[in-house]
Amino acid sequence: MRSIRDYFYSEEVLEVTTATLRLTGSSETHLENIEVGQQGYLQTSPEHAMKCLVAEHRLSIFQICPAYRGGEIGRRHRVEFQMLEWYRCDHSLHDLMDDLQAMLKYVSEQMMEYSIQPIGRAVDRYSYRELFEKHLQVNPHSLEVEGLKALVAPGITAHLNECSTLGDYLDAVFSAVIEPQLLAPTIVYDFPACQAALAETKRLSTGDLVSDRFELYVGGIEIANAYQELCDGQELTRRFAKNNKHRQLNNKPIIEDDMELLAVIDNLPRCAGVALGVDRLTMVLRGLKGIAGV
Amino acid sequence: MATYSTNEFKSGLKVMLEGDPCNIVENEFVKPGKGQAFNRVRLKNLKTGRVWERTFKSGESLEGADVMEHDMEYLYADGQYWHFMKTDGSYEQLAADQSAVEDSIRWLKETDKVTVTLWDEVPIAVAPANFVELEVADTDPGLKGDTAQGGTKPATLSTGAVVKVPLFINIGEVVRVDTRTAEYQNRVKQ
Repeated sequence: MRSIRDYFYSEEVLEVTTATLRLTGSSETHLENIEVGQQGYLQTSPEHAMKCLVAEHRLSIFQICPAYRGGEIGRRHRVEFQMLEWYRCDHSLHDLMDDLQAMLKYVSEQMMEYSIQPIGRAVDRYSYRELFEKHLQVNPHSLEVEGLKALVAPGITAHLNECSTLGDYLDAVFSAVIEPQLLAPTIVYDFPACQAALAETKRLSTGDLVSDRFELYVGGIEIANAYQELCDGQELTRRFAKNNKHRQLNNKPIIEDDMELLAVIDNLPRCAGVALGVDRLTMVLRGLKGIAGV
Repeated sequence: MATYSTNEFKSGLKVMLEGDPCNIVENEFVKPGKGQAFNRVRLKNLKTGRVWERTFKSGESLEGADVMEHDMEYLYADGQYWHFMKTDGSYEQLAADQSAVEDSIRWLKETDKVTVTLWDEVPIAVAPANFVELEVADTDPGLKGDTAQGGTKPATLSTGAVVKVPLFINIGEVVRVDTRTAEYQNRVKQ
């Protein structure tokens, strides 16, 4: 924790604190918000609050705070966990990868006495498509649900049904076949457009429409998730609506649009942001098998 | 019988899957990125002994299985059934059929202690002790001068099991065997 703060102070990124109790929850289909009586929701991440700050002050900021996700209990999951989230103004996603890598190098060097797996060397970088081609010999951007199902054993997609989206199927295949192979620190970029969440989308020279985001994997698990931030209010409204439609199909409560974020998002400067699970990072750096030991 | 939801799954829990009783070996909660959560569960089918890996939607549930394990003593076989007696003082006797004893038949010696798995009061599996002591019924004659570091030879034990033993072992001697690996451990002095 200390070394994470040291890194950002040395980079002159401002530390901030935002309220963890929010008026609106996250509309992400598969996140379960924890409601606190009539008072609001515990944040699933500080993303919206921090974006409001970036839009207002146009500064690079970071925060280490608790985040809450209902029902997520397991070896690598806890309902309350520590999240490190930071935004860099005028950064491209590529710059942010370098930034993340420098931060990991710094932190793992500071933790040398515990660390069995220092992340000093360059982190491998692959596109989502490269990994699918390497492990499954297909281009993921040209596949539909049926094609994905045919790639893997039926058990892998058994928990999905007609209410599930293409994104759900992609996630199921990726996490069963590819994720466990990503043992060395690896950045995966250019995710399918349907998994954009709050990231920009772009068309590559190959013609594939992708979302401008990346994830960091270490030891076969996801550690961090980064976006070239969407700063278009109309598009954000559309994405909220899409999430809620999908929530409805899955019998989940509808979440009101976050008006606070919608009011300022058009003022958001070009920026890239990333959220990182601090418990998980500590877990892999120390070679632990579960986050309970952190 | 009660039902159990995925968040109650833990190793050792006995549940019904596709009509067979299963023992949960491992249960892991998985949530890919922002995707739909699921549980990756490894279950051992108690009838066949085979291990299945299944994916369940988080929150899905399975019916519990009425499975009990009892310490029993093996009595005798009558050609069709194998008879066991409870060692809890009740002296209650049970008969198991071929399919229940199949995997352990070659280790069963009268009066030995075993673990019998009952499903709805019917024996479905019999597990021998991890180590059993059995007499050698047949093997090539031992060679003088051979020591423990010499080679091995096959030996047929009194129950019919065939294990590799060191060259110095003779017919009539008793050996200790690990039933999980079918490996010879040592010679037992009578």
